[in-house]
Amino acid sequence: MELLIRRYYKVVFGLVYRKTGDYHTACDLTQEVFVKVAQSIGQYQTTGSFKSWIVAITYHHCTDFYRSAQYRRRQNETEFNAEIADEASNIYRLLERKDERTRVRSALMQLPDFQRDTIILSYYEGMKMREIAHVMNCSEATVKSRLHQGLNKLRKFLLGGEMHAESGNHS
Amino acid sequence: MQRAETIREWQRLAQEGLVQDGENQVDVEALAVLLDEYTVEFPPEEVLQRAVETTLDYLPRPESTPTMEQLVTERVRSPQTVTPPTLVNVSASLSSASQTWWIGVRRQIQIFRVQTQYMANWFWPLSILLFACGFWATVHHGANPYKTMLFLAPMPFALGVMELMRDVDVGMAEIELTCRISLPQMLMSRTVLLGLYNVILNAAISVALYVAFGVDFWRVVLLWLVPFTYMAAVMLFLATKVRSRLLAPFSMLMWGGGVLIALANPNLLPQLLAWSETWLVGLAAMGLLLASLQMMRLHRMLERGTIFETAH
Repeated sequence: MELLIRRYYKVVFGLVYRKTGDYHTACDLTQEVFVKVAQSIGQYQTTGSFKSWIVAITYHHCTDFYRSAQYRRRQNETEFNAEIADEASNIYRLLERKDERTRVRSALMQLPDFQRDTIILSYYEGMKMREIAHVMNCSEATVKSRLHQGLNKLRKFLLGGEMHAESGNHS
Repeated sequence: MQRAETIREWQRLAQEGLVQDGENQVDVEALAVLLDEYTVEFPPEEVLQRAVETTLDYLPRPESTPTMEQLVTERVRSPQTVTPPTLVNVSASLSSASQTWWIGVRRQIQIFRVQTQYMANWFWPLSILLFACGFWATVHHGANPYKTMLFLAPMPFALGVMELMRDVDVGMAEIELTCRISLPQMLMSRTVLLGLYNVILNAAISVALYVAFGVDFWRVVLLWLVPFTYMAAVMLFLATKVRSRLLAPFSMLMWGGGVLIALANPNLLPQLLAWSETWLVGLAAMGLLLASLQMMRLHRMLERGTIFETAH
């Protein structure tokens, strides 16, 4: 089991991290996912890919988390913290915006869950449309549509914004 | 699925989507470059180790058939507790020891069934084809049936060893299965399955040769049993030492070539056939002992995890 966790830890953590955008939440949820995997290992059908199975568990666990009271409580804490943030942190955030990584994360976090998840599973996890459809319990056409919409929004957030900023600088 | 293939699929879809909006296709590559910027900050080793330790606490214990002593002890200690399915009452369970045995057999059959799915599809028919060709050559081309048996006897096991170690080399299926049955248990089951399959094929061709040519059945059985057991021992030893896909074809070639060259000497086969049955039984028993020792060695290596370490 240790080998299994070590082999899939990065897959699960990466998925959760990109889905939640928060390091500590990702640590907690990754732990919970592996507990779930351990408890439901008997349900794994050897015919399917193990990665797809573990990704499906991770995806559904994250979805459950977003619906949970725990998430709402964390959101409230975040909002509260944002309100009491001082000027220094605002400056820090402004500087942070220059970081490409943070910019992509923010853009992804602005997308609706289902579009963000589709992009993460498709691009970062390298899953096929058919596999994503299976994980998300929807049709392949829906997955493609979500991917198109998500990418177009992402392009507008990232590339559109960049072009706008550049033109602003020139003027 | 290959990562490159996925990216191509993603890029194709992304391009379709962006082209529909009348945008420049370069956007897709620019977007991919930006998405690649979103790297993940992975937690340190101690967080991972903590995850492992916590998860292990939640892992269901492997199923095990309780011994009769355990059943009796449990019954005496807490007679009012809900009885497990195999323990309706002590006297009944004592009289149904065969039932417990049957549960164990069914579980082993289930493990064998799963293992057959993990072996490559080509392995089973190819082994049968090899034996069918041997039988055909004996019937239609006048090959010596004893020679045929010697030539074919260890072939399926040698071929199967490649499959035995394939998943350890690839590194995944075992890990997946370790959650249900342990890695040593799984590979031991696979080895036994291979051995059984080889024995069945050898027994089948022995019967066929006996029916077709009226050969000495027990001598034929001993003639395949000796090389089979020794070859099994050698292959199990080599499988833990040599990590190459060429091991099986090389071993088969060596054995097949060796037998053909050795038996080209017309005096050798009559000498072999003249050996006493007691001598052949002794040799087979020694081969069986060697093969068992190699299996035990493999089991110990798997338990210690050294075989996995050498694979990666």
